[in-house]
Amino acid sequence: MRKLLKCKAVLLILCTLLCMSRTFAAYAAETGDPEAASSVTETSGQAEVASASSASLDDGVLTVGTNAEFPPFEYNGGDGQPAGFDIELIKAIGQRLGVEVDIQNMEFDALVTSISTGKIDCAIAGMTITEERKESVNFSDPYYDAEQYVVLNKDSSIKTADDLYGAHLGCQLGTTGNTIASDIAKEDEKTEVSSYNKTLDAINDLRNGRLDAVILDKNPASVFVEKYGSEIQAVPGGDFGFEIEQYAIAIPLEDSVLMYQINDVLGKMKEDGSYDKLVEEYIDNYEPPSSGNSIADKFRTAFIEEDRYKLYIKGFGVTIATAVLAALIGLVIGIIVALMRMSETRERKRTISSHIAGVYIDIIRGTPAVLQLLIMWFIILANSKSPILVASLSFGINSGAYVAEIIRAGIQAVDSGQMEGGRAMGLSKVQTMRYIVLPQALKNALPPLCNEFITLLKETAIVGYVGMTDLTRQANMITSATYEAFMPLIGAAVIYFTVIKLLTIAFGKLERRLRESDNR
Amino acid sequence: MITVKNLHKSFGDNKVLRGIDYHVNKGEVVVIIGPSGSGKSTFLRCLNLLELPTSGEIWLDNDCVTDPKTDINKIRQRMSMVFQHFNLFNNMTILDNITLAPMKLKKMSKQEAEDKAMVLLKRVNLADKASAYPGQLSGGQKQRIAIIRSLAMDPEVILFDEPTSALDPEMVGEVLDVMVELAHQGMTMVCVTHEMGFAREVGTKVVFMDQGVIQEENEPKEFFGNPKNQRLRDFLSKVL
Repeated sequence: MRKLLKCKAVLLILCTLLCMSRTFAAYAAETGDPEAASSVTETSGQAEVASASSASLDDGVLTVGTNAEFPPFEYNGGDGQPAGFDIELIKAIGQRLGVEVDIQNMEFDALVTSISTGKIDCAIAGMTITEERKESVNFSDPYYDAEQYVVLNKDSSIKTADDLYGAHLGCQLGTTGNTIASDIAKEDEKTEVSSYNKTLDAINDLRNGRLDAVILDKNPASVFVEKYGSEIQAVPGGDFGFEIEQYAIAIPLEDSVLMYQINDVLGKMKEDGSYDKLVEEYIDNYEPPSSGNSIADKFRTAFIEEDRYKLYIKGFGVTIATAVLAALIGLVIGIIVALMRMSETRERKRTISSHIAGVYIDIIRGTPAVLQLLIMWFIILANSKSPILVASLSFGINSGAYVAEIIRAGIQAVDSGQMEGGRAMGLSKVQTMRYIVLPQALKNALPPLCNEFITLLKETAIVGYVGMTDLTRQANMITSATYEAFMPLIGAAVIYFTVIKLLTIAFGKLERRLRESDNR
Repeated sequence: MITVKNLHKSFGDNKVLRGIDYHVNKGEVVVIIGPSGSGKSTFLRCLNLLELPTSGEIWLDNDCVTDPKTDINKIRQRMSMVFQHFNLFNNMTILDNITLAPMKLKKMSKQEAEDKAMVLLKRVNLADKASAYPGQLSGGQKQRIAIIRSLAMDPEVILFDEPTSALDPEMVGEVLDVMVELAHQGMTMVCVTHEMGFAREVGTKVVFMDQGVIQEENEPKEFFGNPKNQRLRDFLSKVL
């Protein structure tokens, strides 16, 4: 036994060394300590197997990505935090590893990228092991056998695998169901596939007649059948020739230590029965939330029950914080870029910085804000831990291009005599700009600037793409928690509208006051 | 004081100034007249480099204004300008209009600058307008403010670019009065104007420009009494 332990230890050290040598080498180089790498080897050499720990746990926190749109494995609990079988499982694993578990809720199709970019240590999200995903991440031992189901309307004519060809199929983006549906569409061009962020949206569109079938995992399928049993039915994928697949925890390719640790705990939990208890409590006995059907009931479910109104307020806090910060960044960038754009040489030719500003404006205006956000989030600032900062920086850079053009128009509207008047006194160009032209230009630009802020406030609704919980996403999450779309969405719309209306009134007053002062 | 050597200025193919040589002495009041399009405003604006000359040299005492290495802002502090359209700063009160440049460029304290501004305002009887905005003043009042705004910098010379052309007739007098007073105090002035009375009474030299060159230059008495240039004679017969 001791020998075996030693063997394992040696293997583990090799693993550790392989995957961490780069980190430690870098560390050694940084600290200038040539013995850093070797001393680490020695300490782990003396350690017991169980105490060898992945570098990602060094901070005492296991950061886990999930996508809380997949009951009963993960969904939004009453407190707005993800809940469900997967969440309980990973918390139990974390407890046994002696670390805190920090759950990050994000879009399903962002999970794999987030693992490879190091945003999260691992992901548990009812994720099926596939060859394609294996190229980007490692999988733990499977913890659940997943079976794809086909959900159909009660009166559906789809009976066999052939019937799926040429049908309009629904699925959740990035799921196994999506792969199956896409494979069918590849073979048959008449087949149409719609991928949703939430399975609930797909099911609702099935009920509304927009879809012919929805392909999704067994458990959520049975939850939906329980909820809408009078309208829909779930058929096992075996009837359509789908193979049974397995859920596993996704782990970074290079972190084989974490993989070993998780598999070790998983094995122990299956042995001592605590795994079966979780299955019984969170899968077999899962009951979807239900609410009454009257408007008042729906209102109560959407806003009052479990203090959900607090979630809207919280979401709106994120929305307004992102928008205000972005607006400030955008204003600063906008003024600088406008001045760069308008800079001239002594001979009245455009300068290099003017051309640079022109290119910036072209690029930003020529690409969608969502793409800019994704690029900022996953590529440029992939290591940032402050979502609001990343988002507002991205929106600020976006807004800056539009603000620059607004400011430029504002400056051009200032009579050229103002600049000449200042310059003729001996003031420099910068001084004249700062004290004379810009104050007047900003006053000219105030109405379109206010308009830009209002646009910005609404545009932040796309932060849901990177898992931030703003007002729109919060409302969206409440629809999946309550299985009710109308009230939360209308509620969010009313909040946006009210705030923007109030802003419009305030901006109008400000404008009138500024105009009073110049009496022209 | 100001020396101009072979000054040319073109806007594209349009040759506005075709070689001007001139010298302004300290204490002189030079009045430039001429038909519209003759280049007289362009000439004036070249002196403080609001227009960049195509070729030629301009000297202010021992400083070459046209040399790119010369700090033009320093030159302009010594060579102020009054515009046809006043160019008061619309976003500032009258007091701030006057104190801005002394505070920013001469590092005057706010108190010092304001005291000086009030003295100047009293001189043109506009002390009560100190806290008004330019938009609240008449044209004549604005131009008087523009003149004392220049004076606040203690310039060595003031360039006047048609200072009365944008004014209603009844306001011309109040502005000319200020200019006459300045001339009597010995201020060096270069004025582009259509006010022949001012040229005759106050000018020490009168210059007639046409087609981008100086056609005739003389003391006012001789200039108006015995014009030699045919174009000048035609011009005077139309305006007098």
